[in-house]
Amino acid sequence: MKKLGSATDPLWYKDAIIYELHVRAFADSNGDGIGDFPGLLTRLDYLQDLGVTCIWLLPFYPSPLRDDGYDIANYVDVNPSYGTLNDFKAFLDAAHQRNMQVLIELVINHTSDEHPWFKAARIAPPGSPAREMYVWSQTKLLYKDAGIIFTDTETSNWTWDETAKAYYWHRFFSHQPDLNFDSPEVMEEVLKAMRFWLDMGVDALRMDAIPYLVERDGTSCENLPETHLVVKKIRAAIDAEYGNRFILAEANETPADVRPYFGDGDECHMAFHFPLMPRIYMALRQEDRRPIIDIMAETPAIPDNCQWGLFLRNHDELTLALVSEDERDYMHIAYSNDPRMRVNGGIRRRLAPLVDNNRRRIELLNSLLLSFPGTPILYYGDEVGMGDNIYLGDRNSVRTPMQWNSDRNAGFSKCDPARLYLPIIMDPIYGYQTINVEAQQSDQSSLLHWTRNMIALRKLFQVFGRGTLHFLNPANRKILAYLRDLDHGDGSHETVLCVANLSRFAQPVSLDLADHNGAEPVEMVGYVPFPIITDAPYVLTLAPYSFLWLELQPSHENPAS
Amino acid sequence: MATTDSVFESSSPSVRPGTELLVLLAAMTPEQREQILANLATSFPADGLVIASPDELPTDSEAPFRMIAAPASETSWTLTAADFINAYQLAEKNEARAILMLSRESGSLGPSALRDLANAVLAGSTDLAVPCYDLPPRTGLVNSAIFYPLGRALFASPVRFPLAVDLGLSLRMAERLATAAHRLTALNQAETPLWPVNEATVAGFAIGQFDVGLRTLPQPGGPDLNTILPLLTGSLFSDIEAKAAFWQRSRQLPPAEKNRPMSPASPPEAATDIAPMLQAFRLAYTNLNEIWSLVLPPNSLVGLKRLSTSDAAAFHMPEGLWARIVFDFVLAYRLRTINRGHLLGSLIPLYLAWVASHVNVTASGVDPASHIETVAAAFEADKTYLVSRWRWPDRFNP
Amino acid sequence: MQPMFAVLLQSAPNQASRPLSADNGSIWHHMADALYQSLDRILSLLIAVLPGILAFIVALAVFTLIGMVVSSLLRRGLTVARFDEHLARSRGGLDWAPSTSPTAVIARVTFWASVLLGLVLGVSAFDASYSTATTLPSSLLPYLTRLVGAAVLLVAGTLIARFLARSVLIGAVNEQLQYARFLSLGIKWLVLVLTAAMVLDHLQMGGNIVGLAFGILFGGIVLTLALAVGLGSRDLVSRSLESHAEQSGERGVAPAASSTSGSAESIRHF
Repeated sequence: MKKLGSATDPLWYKDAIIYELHVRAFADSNGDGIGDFPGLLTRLDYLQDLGVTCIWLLPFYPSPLRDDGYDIANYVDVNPSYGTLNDFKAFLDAAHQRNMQVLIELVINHTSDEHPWFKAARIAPPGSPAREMYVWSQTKLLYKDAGIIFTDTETSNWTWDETAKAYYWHRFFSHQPDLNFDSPEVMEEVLKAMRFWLDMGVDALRMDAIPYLVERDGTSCENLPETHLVVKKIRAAIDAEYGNRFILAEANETPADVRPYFGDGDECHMAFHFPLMPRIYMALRQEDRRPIIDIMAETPAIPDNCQWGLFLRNHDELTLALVSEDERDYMHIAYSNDPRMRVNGGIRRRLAPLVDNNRRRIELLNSLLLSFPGTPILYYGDEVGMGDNIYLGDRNSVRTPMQWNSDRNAGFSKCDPARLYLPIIMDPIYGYQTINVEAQQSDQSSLLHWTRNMIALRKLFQVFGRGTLHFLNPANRKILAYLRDLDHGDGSHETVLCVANLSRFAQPVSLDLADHNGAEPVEMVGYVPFPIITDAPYVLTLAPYSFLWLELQPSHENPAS
Repeated sequence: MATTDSVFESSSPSVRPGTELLVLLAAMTPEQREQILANLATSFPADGLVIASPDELPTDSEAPFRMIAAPASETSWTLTAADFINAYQLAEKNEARAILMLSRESGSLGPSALRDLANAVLAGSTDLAVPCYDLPPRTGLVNSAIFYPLGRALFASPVRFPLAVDLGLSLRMAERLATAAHRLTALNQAETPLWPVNEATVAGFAIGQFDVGLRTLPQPGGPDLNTILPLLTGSLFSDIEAKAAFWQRSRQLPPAEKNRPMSPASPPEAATDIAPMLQAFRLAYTNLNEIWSLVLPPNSLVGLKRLSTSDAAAFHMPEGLWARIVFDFVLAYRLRTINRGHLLGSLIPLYLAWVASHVNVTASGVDPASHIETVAAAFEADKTYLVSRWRWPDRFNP
Repeated sequence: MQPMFAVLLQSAPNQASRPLSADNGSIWHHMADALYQSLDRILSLLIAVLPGILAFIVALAVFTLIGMVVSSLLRRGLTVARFDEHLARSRGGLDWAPSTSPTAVIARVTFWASVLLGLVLGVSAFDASYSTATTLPSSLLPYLTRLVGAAVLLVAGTLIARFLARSVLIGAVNEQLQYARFLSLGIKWLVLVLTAAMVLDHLQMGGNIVGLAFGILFGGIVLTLALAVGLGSRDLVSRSLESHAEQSGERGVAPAASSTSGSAESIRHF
């Protein structure tokens, strides 16, 4: 008997709105300056009101916190700073009661060097099962074709361990040794940890750093066939014992390289679409739809039960690993002129500062996020337009406390401000006195209200999460126009025409909609009928950075659509 | 600025019949002057002409023309505000109907050229007669790179050499130019050049362009490119800023005039080595990039970065890139993004990079004149960029 | 109050022969006496100081008012006399925004100068009326003005250093000097070091040490620059010598000084 998750539809992730947050950044209940689960519990109403349906929690496991929780020291417990296991269970139940699902991290590529497994592996004799849980070598020559990911801090993927008298392999920080997936023990432990959380009722798992699971000499150690076997095994275990869950792959690769992570519907259910994200910013700045069209053309079709995960920003830097040299230069000059804004080759800024805090640009980008094929993932704080602090180290610039109100510590915590895990943003433009949830809740014209309404609008139409995508090709390259269509299977179609103006000036556009001759476009936000489509080119005028969502309905005069 | 009449004048009546053309000559060598006087003699009747020259006049009375003295001008290689004021005052004083201003080395202009220029303004059909020189390739590059394309794009003026050193002016044109010059003189900028073509276009006067054949252009003797280019571009940019209301509307270029004969295709000279120019550009790129990044948008900076890494054979500055660079500098001049002197100083390496690219292009067989036309067309095509950014300065642009 | 205490004091010795309880009483009287004396001192100090404070406030207020009147009169007068335009004509180019036009600047400066004057006079009035102590204010005041002067110097010096550095950078790059950035940094630090030395000297801090250090630093920078220029600009010097020689020869035939002056074929920019 399979243990079902709290969602009822096996494909619920196609209609989900995911909200990414870090427990320690959201709300502090016990005044120690670090957010925790009881605090998060008190804010669930806000999230429910916002309309999100799935909460993605960054790692909250016991950890020395040298990589903000991604270096895990125990897979089946909760970091005491964030609360206890019972606190997490309470939060989970409360979320389920509000019809929200919870997505947590399964960071199986590496652990912290303070994990008991690693401590045992260090002193275990070479060749023993305990030792073989990690990847050891006497020389640094093994796997030398693999690149370094954290270029700003690491110089090699091997680090010498004095106790073990050997080098251990780590694709990320040197204090995060990689697990060895050739060892059956590792697989067993991973599945044990996974089952622990799924049994508790967690609805989804994000597989962090999934391309790097398995290493083989002479390769780049990414996306190897053996890695896919591991993923298949994990998926098989989930499918055998659990229902209505999903796994989300974090694979920062080209679309062609990500496609295998869906398998034939037997690997991950969802994967992030990393290459699309920088191209959205490029298209906006260059006022040209070409970057977006090109990358979507390169995106292969995926199995029917699989889904792309779309996002504008996340907890990491805006990665530029998958764009060309010229494009990277352009993005650096255009969006991160100050070298402090760059880390590991990417840009560590939030959405609002990237677009110069221009409300229209923010809205335009969000409209793309919500209308492109895939599940949208919102980063906490971007719904109120939070800013960043580039003077904090690593990627902490985008992980500052959530700004709830203009009280002390932005309402995040009642502690002494010096105790906060990171300082609050307090500059005149993005500071918590101006940008906070309370102020925006009472302001009907705020970005928060806008986001809430747009999310609600999107939830009314399944076509956005489940439909097909077809780009129109108008002559004006500053206009991005595309059709979303969903065949309900009973002959009826849900069709939406989305038109977005990427330019800061008003633009005319003439669309070829002859295929939909006779349909009546109805603007979705205001339910305003537009002129009926004919064989002639359909002319629209768009204000700067504006967008239109037009639902194509069969017109009353002409029932045939 | 007082003029002194020479002794010749006392013998002539004050009112003259026929053409009343004042010819204002710049300071030049006696041989040059003889050449010009000879050319003038073959083109015009003697009694309708007044020659003004700042040089010491010969005491012999063989010259058939009435000669008067003109104040000397400090800048001898181009026409400055002071020159226009002098011209107008002399014309008024001597009741001339038209003025012909000739610069140094104008002895190389043939009599027919002088006749064309003068007759056009005398007949009243043209207010401003501008010569179109037949220059050898690789001369007059500043005109080709900056002044001509800007004039064509903004003022729809087909004049190939806006900074012409010889001009024919009608009296009202001269009056207008003198008024503009007075404004500059009041600000102590008497030695900056004026832009007669722009003035004429704004005033709606008729402009005529005439082929005058080969001419050796006078070279600035003292200061070099680094001082002169900022002076010229600065004065042009100020002029553009002052006339902003005029060029914001799109204008049609007058129908293309007949193809002017190119200078006989000289066999491409020994390929100029542009390696030193490239080195200079790379040096400028490493040092001035942060100044350029205050003025230029990301696309242009990426283009410049690509240029800085290309080798001599592949060095080519796209026409669109050059057009954008000039437009962005015009905008930065107006917005005072950085100190204006610094701004124009940092334009010089970019201009030299364009010259290197032009040399490369022409060395590969492309006709220089047609390349210049391509450049000017790129400026015209991108005019919307300048107008939109002029009206709405914003730094979030491609 | 005084007579009462005097009576108490006078009555004290009468009880000297009394038993221990009477001693307590005299101790109490001594304490009271000491308290009275210190209280008296404070009160008399306050009373002495009060007119001084009042004088200070009055002086400041009066001069602020005078400043306001004078500055508004000046502003009106200069506007009528078109002071800005006259200045523009002689300097060439109206380079300022209306809020920072010379008229406004002068008016503002006048106002604040008068306030400052009021402050100074007020302090000296305070000092004059407060005759009993050698107070800090009188020696602090000139130091304060020096501080202000030093701050102004510092700001001006930094601005000039930055402007000069950029000018030198652009000029050097246009002359194709390889060490352009080095030169510009050198000039900037030269000006900054000079400014710092002037500021310290103005504040009379450090004395001879500052002068010595400045001399060494300045001399060192100049020497480094001279070496760099001398070693690095041989071609520049030779080029400029060539062009000078040509200029002194024929006028008007010198080729435009571009980087191709060495190559056989000349590029004419004009």
